[in-house]
Amino acid sequence: MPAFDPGSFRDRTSRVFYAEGGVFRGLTPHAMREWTALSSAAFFRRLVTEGKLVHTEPVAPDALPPGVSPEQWALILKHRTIPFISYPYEWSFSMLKDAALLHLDLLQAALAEDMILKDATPFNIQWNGSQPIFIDIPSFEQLRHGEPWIGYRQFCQLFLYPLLLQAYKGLPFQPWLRGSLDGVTPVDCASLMSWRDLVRPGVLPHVTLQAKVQSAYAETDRNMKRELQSAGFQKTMIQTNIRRLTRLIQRLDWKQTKSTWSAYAENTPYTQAGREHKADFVRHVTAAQTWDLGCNTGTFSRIAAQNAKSVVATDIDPLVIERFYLSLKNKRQQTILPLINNLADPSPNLGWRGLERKALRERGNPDLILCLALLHHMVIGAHIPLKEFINWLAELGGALIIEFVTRDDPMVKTLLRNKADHYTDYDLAYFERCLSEVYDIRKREPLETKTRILYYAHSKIHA
Amino acid sequence: MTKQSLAVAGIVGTLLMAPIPAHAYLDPGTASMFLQLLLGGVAGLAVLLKLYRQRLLSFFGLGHQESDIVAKGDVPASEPESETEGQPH
Repeated sequence: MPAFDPGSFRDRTSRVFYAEGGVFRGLTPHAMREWTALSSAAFFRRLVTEGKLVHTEPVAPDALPPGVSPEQWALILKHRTIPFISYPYEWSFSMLKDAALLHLDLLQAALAEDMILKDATPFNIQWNGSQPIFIDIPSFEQLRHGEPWIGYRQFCQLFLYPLLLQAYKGLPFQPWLRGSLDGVTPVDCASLMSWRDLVRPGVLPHVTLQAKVQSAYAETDRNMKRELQSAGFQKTMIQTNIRRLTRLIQRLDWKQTKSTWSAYAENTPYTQAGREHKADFVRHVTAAQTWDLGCNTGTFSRIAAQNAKSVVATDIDPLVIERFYLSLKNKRQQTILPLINNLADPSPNLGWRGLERKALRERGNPDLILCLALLHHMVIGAHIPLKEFINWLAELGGALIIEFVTRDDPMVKTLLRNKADHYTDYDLAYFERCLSEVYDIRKREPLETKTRILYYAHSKIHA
Repeated sequence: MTKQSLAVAGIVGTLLMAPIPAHAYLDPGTASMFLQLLLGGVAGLAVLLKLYRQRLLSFFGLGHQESDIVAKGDVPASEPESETEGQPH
C-alpha cells in the first residue's frame, strides 16, 4: 500500500508518497499545469542532466504500483530515490553555503525562462554524496508578471542568516535550525549584529533593513503585491537581487581553524601496523549502506565506500565535517555523505506532530555500522551506559565493526585522568558479554598494541 | 545629490531609526516584498520612487501638487498565493 509522507503537507498542490520502494508525487490540476511548463523548459532538462535536479518522470496510470488510485490525482510523478535524507541542521557551513548557491542557481535558470521557485527552503535540497540536489519539483511555477520573489524572506531565514551568523559571529547555525524549523527571523538576526557588523557585506540590506521594514509594515493592510505590479515591478529586479546574493554568499567564509577533534588525525594513537590492520579489517566487509559513526577525517568512510553504494559518515564536530565535506567535494565524491550528529543527542523527530522531520535512526537501516574508536567516548565522555549503546546499535540492524579500547590505552587514561571513575561498565569482559547478547560475533582481532580490539558482528535484532 | 539618491537615503535613514516592536503583529511577507525594490538595483529604485514620489518629495520640500500615482485597482489582483515550504522527498 502507498504511504504518504507525513512531512509532505505544506504545499497543497502535491503530495509525496512511497510505494514498492519508489518515491512518487501526486499532483493537483494546478500543479500539473506547472509541471507541464517545467518539463518543457530547456533549463529543466539541463539541470537534471547535471545532477542538480532530481530525475523525475510522469507515471502512466497502468504502470502505477498496486493500491495507488490514479483518480485521486491529475498526474503522478516518480522521482529517483536519494540514498539518505538529511536536514540542514546536520550540514556543515560549506554544505549549507553550497545548497544556498544551488538554490540561487536554479532560480536564475528558472527566471531566464519565466519560471520561479515559490519557496526557498534547504529542506528541498538533498545530497548525492557531496553533490547537492534539489528534490521539490512542484516548487517551480510560472512567473506571474510584476510579482516579486515570494521566497525571499524564507531564503534569508533558512539560508542567508544562518550563514551570516556563522561567518561573521562564529555562531553555529545547526542548533538554531534544529530548534526552529522556520529558521532565524530578521529581528532575531538583527539583534545579534553590532554597529560594526552593519558595514559587513549583506548585513545592512538583508538583515537590518528587513527587520526595520518588517516593523514599519506591521499591521499594514496594504496589498503590496498588487501595488508592486501596478508600479511596474519587473523580474530584472529579482535577478539583480539574486546576482548580488550569489556574490555575497560566494564570499562568505567560516574561518575557524581549530576544534576539539580537528587535530585527531595528527595525534593518532595507532602504529603503522595497527593502522593497516584496521584498514584491512574494514576493507573486507561489503555492504549496500554503511554508517560510519564518529568518522573524523573519514579515513574508514573512504575505505568502506569502495564496497558500498552509499556511506553516511557522522561526527559530533562541525569543523571535522566541514573539512571532510570540502575534501569530498574537491574529488566530486558521490557516495559519502558527511553529517554533523551528536550520538548522545541525535537528531530527533521534529515539526508538526513530530512527524515532519525524522529522527536519524528512522531514516534508514544500515547494512553495516562502523563504530571505530568511539565507544570509550560514548561511555566515559558522554556518560551513555555501555549496554544501552550496544543495544541501540543492534536495533539499527545489520553488521557492526566495533573497536574496544582497553583501560590500558593512553587515550582511555587521558579521558579518565580528571574524572571520578564510576564507569565500571567500561570493561572488556562486560563489553563482550553485552555484545554477544545482541550480536553474533564473527571475528575478533586485537591490534598490535593489544590495547585495541576489533570485532565484526551481525545483529540478532531485525530492524 | 540627485533627487533619487536623496530620496533613497531618506527612506533608508527613516527605516533605520524606526524602533522594532517586540510584540506587534507582523506581516513579514509584505515587508520583504517592499524590500526587494531596494535590492533590485536601479530599476527597483525607480519603481520605489514611483510608489513614494509624492510622499518623499513633499518630505524633502520638493513636492508638486500631484495625486498619489499609485493607481490602486488598475491591475487585477493576482491569485492569492500563500508561501509554501518544502516537503521532504
